[in-house]
Amino acid sequence: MISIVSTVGVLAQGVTTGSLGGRVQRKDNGKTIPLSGATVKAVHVPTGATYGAIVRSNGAYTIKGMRTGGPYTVTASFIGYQSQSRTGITIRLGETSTTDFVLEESSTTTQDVVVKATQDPAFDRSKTGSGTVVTDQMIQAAPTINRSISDVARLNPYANQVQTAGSDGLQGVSIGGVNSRFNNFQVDGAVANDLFALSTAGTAGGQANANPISLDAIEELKVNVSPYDIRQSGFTGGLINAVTRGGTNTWTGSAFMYGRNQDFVGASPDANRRPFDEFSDLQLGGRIGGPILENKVLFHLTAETRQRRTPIEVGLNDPNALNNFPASSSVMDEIIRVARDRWNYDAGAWDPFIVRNNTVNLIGRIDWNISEHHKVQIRHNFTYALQDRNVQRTAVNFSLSSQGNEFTSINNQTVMQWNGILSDDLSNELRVSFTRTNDERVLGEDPFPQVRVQVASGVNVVLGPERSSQANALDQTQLAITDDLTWFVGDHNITIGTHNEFNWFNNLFIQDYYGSYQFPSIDAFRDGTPNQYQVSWANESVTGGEQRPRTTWSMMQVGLYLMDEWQVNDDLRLVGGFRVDAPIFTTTPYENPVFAARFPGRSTSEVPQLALLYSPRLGFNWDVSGDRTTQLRGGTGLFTGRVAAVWLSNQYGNTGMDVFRAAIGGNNSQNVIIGADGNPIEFDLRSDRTPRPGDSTFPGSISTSAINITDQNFRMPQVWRSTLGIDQRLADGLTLSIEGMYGAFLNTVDYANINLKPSGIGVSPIDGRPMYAGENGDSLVAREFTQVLLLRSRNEGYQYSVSGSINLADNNRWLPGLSAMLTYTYGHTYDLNSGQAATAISQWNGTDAIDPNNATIGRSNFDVPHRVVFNASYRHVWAPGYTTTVTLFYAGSSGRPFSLSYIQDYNGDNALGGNDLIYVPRAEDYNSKVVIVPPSGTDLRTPDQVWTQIMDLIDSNPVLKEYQGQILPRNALREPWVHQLDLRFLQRIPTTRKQSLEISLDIQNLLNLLNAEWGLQRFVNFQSFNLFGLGLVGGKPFDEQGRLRMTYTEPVTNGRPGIYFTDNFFSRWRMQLGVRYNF
Amino acid sequence: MKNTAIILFLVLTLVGCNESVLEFPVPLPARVRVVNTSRDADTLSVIIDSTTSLKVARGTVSDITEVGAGRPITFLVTYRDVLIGRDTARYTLGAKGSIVLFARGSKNKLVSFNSPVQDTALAVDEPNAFVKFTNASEYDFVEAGGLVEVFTGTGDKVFKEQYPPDITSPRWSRIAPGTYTFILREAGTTRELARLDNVLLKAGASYMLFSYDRNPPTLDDIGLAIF
Repeated sequence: MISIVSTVGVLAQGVTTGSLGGRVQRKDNGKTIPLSGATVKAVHVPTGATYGAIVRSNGAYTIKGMRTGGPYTVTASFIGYQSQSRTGITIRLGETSTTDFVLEESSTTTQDVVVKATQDPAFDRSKTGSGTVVTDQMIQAAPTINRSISDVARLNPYANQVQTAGSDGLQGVSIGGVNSRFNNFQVDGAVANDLFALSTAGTAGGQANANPISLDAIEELKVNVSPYDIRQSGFTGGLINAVTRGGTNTWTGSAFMYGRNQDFVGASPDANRRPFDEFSDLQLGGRIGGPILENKVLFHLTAETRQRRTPIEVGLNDPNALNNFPASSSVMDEIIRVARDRWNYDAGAWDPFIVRNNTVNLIGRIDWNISEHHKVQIRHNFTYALQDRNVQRTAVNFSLSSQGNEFTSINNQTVMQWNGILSDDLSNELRVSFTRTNDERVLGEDPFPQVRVQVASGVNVVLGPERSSQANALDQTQLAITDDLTWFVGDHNITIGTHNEFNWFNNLFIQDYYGSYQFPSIDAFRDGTPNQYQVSWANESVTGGEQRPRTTWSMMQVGLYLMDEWQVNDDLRLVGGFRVDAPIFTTTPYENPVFAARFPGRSTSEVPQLALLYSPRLGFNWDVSGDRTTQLRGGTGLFTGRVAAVWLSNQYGNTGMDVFRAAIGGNNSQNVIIGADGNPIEFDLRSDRTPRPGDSTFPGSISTSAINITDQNFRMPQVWRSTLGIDQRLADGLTLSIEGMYGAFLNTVDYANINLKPSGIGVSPIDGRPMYAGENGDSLVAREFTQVLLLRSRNEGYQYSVSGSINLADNNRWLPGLSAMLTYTYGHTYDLNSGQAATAISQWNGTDAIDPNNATIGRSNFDVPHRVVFNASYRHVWAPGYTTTVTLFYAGSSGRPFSLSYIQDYNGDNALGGNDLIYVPRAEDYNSKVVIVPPSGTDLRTPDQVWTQIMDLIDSNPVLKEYQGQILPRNALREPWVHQLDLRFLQRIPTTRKQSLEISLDIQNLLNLLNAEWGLQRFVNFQSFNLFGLGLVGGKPFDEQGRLRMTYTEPVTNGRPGIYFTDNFFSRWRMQLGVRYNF
Repeated sequence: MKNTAIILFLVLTLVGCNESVLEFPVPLPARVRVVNTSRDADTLSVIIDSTTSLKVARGTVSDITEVGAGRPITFLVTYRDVLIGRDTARYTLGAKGSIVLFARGSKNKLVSFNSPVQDTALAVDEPNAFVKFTNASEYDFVEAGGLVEVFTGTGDKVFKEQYPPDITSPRWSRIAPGTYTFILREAGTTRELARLDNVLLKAGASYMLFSYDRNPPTLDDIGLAIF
């Protein structure tokens, strides 16, 4: 069996099935002549499913829609000729396996010929683009603890795991340096993305940390980067397609248990070296498959559950702790007491918090082999997940347990697929999928606002329901219909097809529904005198009395395509196609007349105009040597993706019509809110109705709204991707592949706040960046609104890469049983906006820029210039049935890029969070262009000492030196290199009959187990660090002479000098034991 | 496998150069001395930046110790293993700077550092000595408003100003090298509160004279010391 990872190209012939093709010929005077009319029959041995085709006039035959896997026995026959059979044929997902026959006349032989087939998937004629097939055997051998898709998809050289820093959460997969939100994840060809795209994993149920499907249910996985098959679409990152297991004529099954606890996790990566707090993780499940009606109706069922309890680790006044909250427990006790005695609210506890995470995965599949010509498959996938969310305990925020909520996610997907051979030259594949996902944040029974109590400068204890969870639920429904009709004519396979998605969204998201208060002290909390208050409430005249209005909207995307696969000759195969997709918005948002008056030509009710998205593609495969030892492959084409639905939903939910919003006071201000009488306003946190403008107790009458709109010319993103690769067979079982890729992004997502007015001074005198008017009254075009955020498309951004890989198959002649892969990929990806956030405001101000309203391309947040992947798996057979498999996986990659920005608002765009990229000063700038604000208070340095520190930092870094006198580009710097070394040990012991027992041990981050200082993963929060401060005077960072007023203190993170957080979870080694019984 | 391992090693060597990784150069350290003038803690333990540990008896000064500069560092102050000062003890010191920190206050009210004093760099050929004064005592003589003055044994006033508690003289006083007696007086009177004899002052050196409560909580039992 071939068990290498193939990094060679893939022409996906079908999204859930594979194909078989080739030629049937006869010999005539030494020449081969097509044997038109011969019959080819393929039998899937485990299920008895039979597929057939008639050889065409040119000798070619094609069978489409075949079940993946095998073994197949393929027989060619013709009257007067001796039949020939090939056994052991494997059909791979989305590929065309090639099997040729040369029949001899009956008179020359006495019996049918049966030959064991040999296949090398690396040299299949159908391979054109780039992709990786992960087989069942590889999935079983892959080191994994979470048993997630990403743990096997990472074998693709372009696929980089994306983790949620500091958490035990599922990891997403960035492909080609692009956000996982731009991937298309499919199960049996049906979309299984997190369409709304709120989770890091990017898959349905990901928000509650659930795998979208049990790994046990997956028979084969394919990661595609540039499939030139025109049917493949819905991504500008990559396409991940999982094909589920089906039943066979033999009753087979498996039951498993994987478990770990705190003793299976390394010590804290800090000076304390503390053991992990109370922790447990148990995964139980099994699968069974067999015949309902032999050869006709077969079923397969997989069930799995996971119960996980993960601690949130934080130290209280413990400077040695990695995550230290600088306040004592007595402070929190006092806040809890005030909440109880003054506000009659149970704020919860500060005790160690254990996050519950329970999941259930069920998947059932029925295969009905109606006849040789017709096959039907029906599948249902169910996922349930529960996770405790929103209790955050960091160095600056400590959530009491009342902050938390139960996040529940339920996902149901039903898929029906019909594969039919309509005639000798016509086949059809129809697939219909229906998916529903229901996410909800379940709060406690006692509604209460969120309360932040400052206990030190910038340090808060937080209680009450988290502000974004106070009214938060999401229902998604999708109906997808796909039909592909293929016509076999001569050397051509011509496919005409359609793919159509109908999406319905029902979103409840009202931030601060119960209100959010911030108090400068415990006394102020007791008095009810906040320094900041935010609230949102429904405009019941618009919502018809509904106090918790939902955003309901729908859209569809219809696609038509035509493709020709042309086997030009034995050595050259071409595939070309043309696709048209049309996104159509079928719901109109509310019209806001005030907005329309303030912004002529714009409207909150306008949705993107209908625009056709064209995707022409052309791919080729050329057997240069003629004997399939050297293969050249490649292609070029457009791929149309999708955006996170939440970005589109933002317009529907932020028209300023159905929900109003008010915010008063200042973040971290020490000044409580003062009323008209000059006295602090006392708020009633137990009021039946959240205080709002118009109330007698509410200061002023200002109510503002953020408006989100989408440009009428907005388009779904596309990438024009071109690849060229060569595969060279170095020896039997040893292959070298080199591939280059270039992609140009079209319709890149971009944001602008069109409510900002330019300032009078135009541009910064220091570095020329555009300046906005800041917080003064003239800063906004329309004062009725805070931000007016425009989602638009721009044709900017690109990616390129070169990848080399060496693959060793386990049937190699040097050490049979050893399969190995070594790849190195160099590349870069540049974009306008990496799509890290969900809300429009975070998308806009979360992307560091020179001018946030006119972003320029910079390195993607997912840019990985260097990536090395090594995977080796060795299987040793001690005795029949007694096998030991050891797999070692290593991935080393450049750290994530990050930006440096100012702490304060440099350009007056009112963006919070520091989105202004730094100007890198030169030595000669001191006192001419830049001055240092004299330190004061406990900062005992002189300005000269501060300046020397800045210059020393710049001199020490080549990138900072390179950009002296300029603005540092976005993501110019990098986190430290990341090393990930994982191990899996698997021992199989036979029991009775063909049954066996398996014992496994998985170790992730093995380096940390070998040495506590190794395997540490260090990161910069949000990939942006506010390095320099500004001495603002009147909202401007310049002094009277136009010099930049700077401050600087060497940053301290995790209690140590520097800017890198050490990941408290992924920096530790983790281990898991497993037991499995196969029957 | 051997060849594979070599290739892997070469590749990792080639690409593992951590380009563009931002690391912060370590500034030259600052020099710190801590003076214990706290009322209740006869011996203070001071942990600086989680690395340097000092023990300072009341009325004495620690040796000069080098600590990290350029970033806020924490001074943990403990008395008999009880943390008595923290939140107020974060300072950012300049590279190569010298600083004197007076630990003041009560163990019950958290010790804080008052009057951080930057040393002055003196010229090598400076013929005089220089003296500063910090009033770290709790003088309770109400009629004089708690003010004190410093004189030499010959009756010369060393500093022009009168000093309330917690105040350090704003300027260095230039004084000829020699052996001196310093006397602390209640301001505007001849009442002697404390005396320090046989103090040798060398040319080109700077000195810090300070008062402290010698026997707290008893008031007006004041000591005078210099370093």
